[in-house]
Amino acid sequence: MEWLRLIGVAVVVVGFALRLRVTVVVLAAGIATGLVAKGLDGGFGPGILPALGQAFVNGRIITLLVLSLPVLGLLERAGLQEECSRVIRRAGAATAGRLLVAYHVFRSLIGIAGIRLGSGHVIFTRPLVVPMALPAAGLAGSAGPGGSEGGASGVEVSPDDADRAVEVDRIKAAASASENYANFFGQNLFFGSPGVALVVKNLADNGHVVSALLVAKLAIPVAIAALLLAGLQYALLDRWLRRRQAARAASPAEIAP
Amino acid sequence: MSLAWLFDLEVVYVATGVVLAVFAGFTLADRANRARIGTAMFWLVLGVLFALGSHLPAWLNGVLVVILVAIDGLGLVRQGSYREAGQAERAAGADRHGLLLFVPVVLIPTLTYAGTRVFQGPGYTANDVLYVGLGLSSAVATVVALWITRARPVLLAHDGRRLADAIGAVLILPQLLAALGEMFKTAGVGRVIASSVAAVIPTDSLLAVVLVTCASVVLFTFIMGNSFAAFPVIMAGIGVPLLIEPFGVSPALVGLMTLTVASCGTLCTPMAANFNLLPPALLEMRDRHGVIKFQAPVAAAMFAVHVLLLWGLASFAA
Repeated sequence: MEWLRLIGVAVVVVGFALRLRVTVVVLAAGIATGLVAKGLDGGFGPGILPALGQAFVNGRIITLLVLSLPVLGLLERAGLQEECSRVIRRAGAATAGRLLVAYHVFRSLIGIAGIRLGSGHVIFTRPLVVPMALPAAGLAGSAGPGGSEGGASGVEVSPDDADRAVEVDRIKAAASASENYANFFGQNLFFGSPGVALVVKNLADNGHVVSALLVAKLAIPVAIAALLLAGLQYALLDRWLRRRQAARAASPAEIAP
Repeated sequence: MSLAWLFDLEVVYVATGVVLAVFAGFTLADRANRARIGTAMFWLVLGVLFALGSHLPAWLNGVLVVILVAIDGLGLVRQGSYREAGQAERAAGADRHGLLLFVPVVLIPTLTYAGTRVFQGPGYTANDVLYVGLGLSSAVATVVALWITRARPVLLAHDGRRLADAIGAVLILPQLLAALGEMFKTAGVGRVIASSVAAVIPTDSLLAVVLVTCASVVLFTFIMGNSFAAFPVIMAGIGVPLLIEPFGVSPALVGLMTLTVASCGTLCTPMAANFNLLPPALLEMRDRHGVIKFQAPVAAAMFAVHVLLLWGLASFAA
């Protein structure tokens, strides 16, 4: 019977597999989990709906990014993305991959300095990293974030454009990934980070006293491995882009995916 | 004099609620949006949850969450028109303002960081200072951006709404998943996983225990979408009783490796919506799982690195 507690997990797996609307799947999983727990041992004393509402309201911190959307949107209107691509053109030797290595290192240094900014996708990736990475990959005019040239409105797109759209998507994915890699594997280099605090506190609760500095030191090989592996992936991205662009230059009509 | 009173999260919650209500108002007037009433309702209900969530009864908050999901479930959150600037207008803006455009962007993290350094010590809660600071820095950056660009303030509403609509209902997913995580915790999902793993694990081989510890924290993080939620469950159920105590492995080593290997699960799961699903929406990618697909190979390689590091360093020290 204990296994029934995992019903929410099953709902999520099935819902994602069937590509149902994610918000609906998650809500259904929450309600199913609550019903089972209530049935097994009368958990959720105050009721499932209040528990859900309370938990949602307690998580408002995650969505504070709304406050920076107006200014970032306004700056895009005023030409922020165009200015980013001019900076990159002046820099000359930049490629998308090299730029991402630079961002990865920069983001890790932010972690080492103990600077906590939450997630950098809103304040760095959309306004700066993607608008610089696309022109560095020679994809300047092909829709930065927010660019409406993606052919979304059912307009006929040429094979070349469709081809570029795949590259734009991959670069956006890589830019988001560089933020995640450096954030996840870099933040514990700072001995005062929440992750290190969690480890120290948890071990103390289990009867083992350890120093935060030692925990942070052990994060060094992890951060180095992350930089090397991610760096390899960024280099492969550059190679993939070069090959596709070379193929496109050679035979403009037909490109293998 | 202490300024601790300033760093009350309620301030940024209400401010966010007001911003969302403004989005809702402009959406209602947006005739280019085929679902303008549904979309406006969505932003308005979310705004109410933000501004009044601390004061409304919990059951009513729950009802509002269900309404949000219902609006999205019916496909009534859509995009409209935002008086977008064309390529020529944006290029002219870049000509006129140049590098000054970076000033507000750089101000947000810089001011947030400065705030966390200046306002610390007794009376201040680090998290509150961080998040309220982020809100205040956004406000300052907004004023500076208006001053640099001389744009009409009404454009803030159009452009903010443009980005919010581009993200759409995905905006509430991180919060919704955090709520689901809370439900899982209350229902004892972690207990079931940790106890069933501990029951089948071969406890005499260090490598096997290392492998199972890493795999189970990754699996549990994949389910919860949050390594910080998975970590204590796996440490209490497996890491401490089966790895640290019988094998005498350094507790700090086990703790740190168990925490960071969990991030390999975070990199692969749609449950970590703020890291994996929000960015594709925010960056207007075609493939909403594109970030996860890109991250999966590095996550797999990092998993192997963690197993080897933990096993190697543990055997070396023993």
